Amino acid sequence: MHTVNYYVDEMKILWLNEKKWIHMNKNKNVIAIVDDDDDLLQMLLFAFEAQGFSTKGFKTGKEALSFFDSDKNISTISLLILDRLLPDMDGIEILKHLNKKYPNQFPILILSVLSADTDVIKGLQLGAVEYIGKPFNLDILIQQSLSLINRFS
Amino acid sequence: MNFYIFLSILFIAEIVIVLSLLILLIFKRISIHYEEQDIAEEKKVFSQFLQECLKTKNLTLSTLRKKISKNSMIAVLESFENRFKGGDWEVLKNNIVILHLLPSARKWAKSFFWTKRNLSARCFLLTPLIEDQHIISKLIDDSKFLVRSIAAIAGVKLCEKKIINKVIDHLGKEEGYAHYFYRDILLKGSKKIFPWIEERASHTKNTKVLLACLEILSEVSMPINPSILDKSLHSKDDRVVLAAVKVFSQNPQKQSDEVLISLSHDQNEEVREQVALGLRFRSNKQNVKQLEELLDDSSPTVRMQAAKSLKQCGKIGIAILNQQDQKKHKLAFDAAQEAIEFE
Repeated sequence: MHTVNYYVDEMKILWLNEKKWIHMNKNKNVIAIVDDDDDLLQMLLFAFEAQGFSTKGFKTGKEALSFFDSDKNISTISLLILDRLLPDMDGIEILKHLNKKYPNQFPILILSVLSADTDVIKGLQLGAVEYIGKPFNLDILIQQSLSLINRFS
Repeated sequence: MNFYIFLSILFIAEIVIVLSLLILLIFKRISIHYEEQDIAEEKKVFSQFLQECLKTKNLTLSTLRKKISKNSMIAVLESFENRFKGGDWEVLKNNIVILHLLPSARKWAKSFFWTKRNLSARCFLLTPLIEDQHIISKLIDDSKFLVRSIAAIAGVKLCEKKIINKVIDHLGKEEGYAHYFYRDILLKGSKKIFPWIEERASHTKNTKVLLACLEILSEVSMPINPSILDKSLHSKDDRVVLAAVKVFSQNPQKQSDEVLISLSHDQNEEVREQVALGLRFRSNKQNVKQLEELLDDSSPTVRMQAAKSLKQCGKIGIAILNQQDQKKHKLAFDAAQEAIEFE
């Protein structure tokens, strides 16, 4: 893979073979994923690690909230992928908590089997940048995530 | 004496039978427990195998060492199908289903046991092929809902005209949960099917099928051939008239406003309710005036719908709602207040 590295302030730009431009802040390189489906969580963590990100996976809302309660952890996150049907809470609660305590720190993408119009509207109104229903195309999800990270940074 | 001996022997025999049955039950329960563990283990192995295939992009089954039962394979494939669609997953799934499941599925479709026919339908749902459309078509007519419902989803996914027509027939015939099931799968299907449904509506003489088609057409956004709706509006059957009005009110056509206003004094209150619902799409003077008239309707549901529609017309509508006089038009006033405060 041919890489051409440019440093522009704190941004590191990678030119990949597929001519994909990804702006990555070297301090903000973590993709956090909250989903109680173990198989799916492992697939997503692997898929984003293959794109060069560090990843953090959480199976319950409580685990995720205790991670997000630290300013240091929040500053490392470039994207949050959030399921709604968690065993201990609705993922929307995590979204509300983050909007209250750490508004606009990183884009939040909801990935849920609840994809009726009312659910999508609710998620977007509460601050999610994107709402994707399950089942989803993994390649499209990855591209959408990269595009969100790019735009947000 | 002999009688008592006979009774004792009978009694002992009963105890022996009951005890043996109890022992059999216990052994059966233990063996089921181990069987379930084996099945769970199989599913875990197959699930990990699928994950590895997707991660390494190896989309054939060449590296699967352990033999997996077809039931477990189908269950795991279905759980992955609920998570992913398209891309590498589609290729991997099709490879597995075509090679390992469809040959058995074609045999199971002819089985006497509905559980086998159910498995067959589930296989065709995972990967419906054109060459299997006649089998899917037969399964759609199965006596068990748990077989024909899955076959219907497979048929809609396959998107062939004959099969869609079969599903429409079932939509017309069946009632209750099954009716809404077929309606929802058709609505979630490809947009290609709606012109076929329109064509069916124009040619059918069966009232139930016509009602089914109009029900679907009222839930989508597309222009409908005016002759179909015209014929239905002049039908002698009130249900067909109402279904046609619903199309005008929920799937607005070019002539919707004109038709709805002409029906605003219809005897049937359900028709008037649909008129009030349909006029919300365009807040021109004519529609708003008609809605204001419907605020004074004799039916509470019509008044309420008119008030909601006026609220959706923006400032003009809200101004009309606020103008309602409690003394002169109490019923209209009540409907207007409810719409303003609660809707």
